[in-house]
Amino acid sequence: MDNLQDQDRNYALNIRVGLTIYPSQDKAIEQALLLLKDRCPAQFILLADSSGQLISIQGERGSLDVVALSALVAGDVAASHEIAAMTNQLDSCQMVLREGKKSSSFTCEAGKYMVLFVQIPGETPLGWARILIRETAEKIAEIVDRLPDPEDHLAAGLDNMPLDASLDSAIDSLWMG
Amino acid sequence: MQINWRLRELTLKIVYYGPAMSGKTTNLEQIHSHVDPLKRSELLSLKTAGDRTLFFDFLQLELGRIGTLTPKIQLYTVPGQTYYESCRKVVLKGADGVVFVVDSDVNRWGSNLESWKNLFKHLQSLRIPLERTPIIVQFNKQDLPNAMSPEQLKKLLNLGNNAVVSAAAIRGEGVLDTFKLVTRNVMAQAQREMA
Ligand SMILES: Nc1nc2c(ncn2[C@@H]2O[C@H](COP(=O)(O)OP(=O)(O)OP(=O)(O)O)[C@@H](O)[C@H]2O)c(=O)[nH]1
Ligand SMILES: [Mg+2]
Repeated sequence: MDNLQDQDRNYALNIRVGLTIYPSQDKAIEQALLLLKDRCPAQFILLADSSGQLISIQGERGSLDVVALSALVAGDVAASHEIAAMTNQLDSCQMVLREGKKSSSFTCEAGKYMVLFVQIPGETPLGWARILIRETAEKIAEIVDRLPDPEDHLAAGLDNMPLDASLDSAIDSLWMG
Repeated sequence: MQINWRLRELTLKIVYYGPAMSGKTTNLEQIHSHVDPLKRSELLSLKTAGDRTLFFDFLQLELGRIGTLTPKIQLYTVPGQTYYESCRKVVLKGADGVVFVVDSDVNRWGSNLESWKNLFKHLQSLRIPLERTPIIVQFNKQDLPNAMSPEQLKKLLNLGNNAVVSAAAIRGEGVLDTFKLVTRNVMAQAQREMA
């Protein structure tokens, strides 16, 4: 078990900048978002990594383009982070509120590597939502900082990925000519 | 790079960088119009009234299952105009690979050089490891009568080992080759890092 963890630490160190989410972490994140959705209550929640890659959603997405939304939320948070840095307001958890009549939304950082978007109905008290969202953001940051469970050890499989022919044909098959 | 082991998804981010008007957005528009709609997102463009990129363009492609993972490739462009400096940095964050789109127009040599230097400045400040980040150089607008040749451009930018592709993105030429090359390199790098 120790050995496994060592391997994993090395494994995690090898992977730069980005984020690796193991099944146990994914499950914990899902639970944290679900809890936030019920307690707030929130209509819709989206978690992405800070470079704009979707991680998880909760609630009614309807016809919402969640891939595009992830990219926008990450851009939004990154931009407001830069604004805060330039104007000397840098805090550990940047939070931006968009206030509307029918609904409002918060965007904020969740640790260093993730961004959270939460849409709440107009009648939800903003102060209450803010506290819950901040709590959740911290919890999620903590979840991905954890080492993976031993059960997460799986056939990684990427090193068996036949890159050459199969990648090229996958790219070719994207193209319609 | 993001890996979700439960969904067995690998997401990689590629950024099209380069001086103003070099054809970054055109590359994404061409990809968008040639890729099967079932395998791509909509093209998202945050632009000014004059069709210049203000923050970024964004397009996601799904490669289908390769080995045991489903790779998703995210393409971003930066705004080339000089005064959007801070936006460029924001978009570059977390990039796994870069396509540097050169404007081959001979009158644009200074802007190319400036943007090329600017790219490395940002990569450094974002702590993106150069030796592990493929940078493909696309010599775009080769259709122009006053285009600099690939050899001239290589000298201008002092290119070492970077892979280069000649293109006329407006006609779709070289767009797929560039995309293929960068994707291949980025996937190979991901594979090395996980091995
Ligand atoms: N002749 C020629 N023109 C091109 C080519 N590719 C793009 N253009 C033109 O160059 C102009 C700028 O193209 P964009 O793709 O918007 O450039 P960009 O790099 O996204 O510009 P910014 O968003 O301002 O940084 C447009 O008028 C394009 O039609 C090409 O291969 N040849
Ligand atoms: Mg553009």
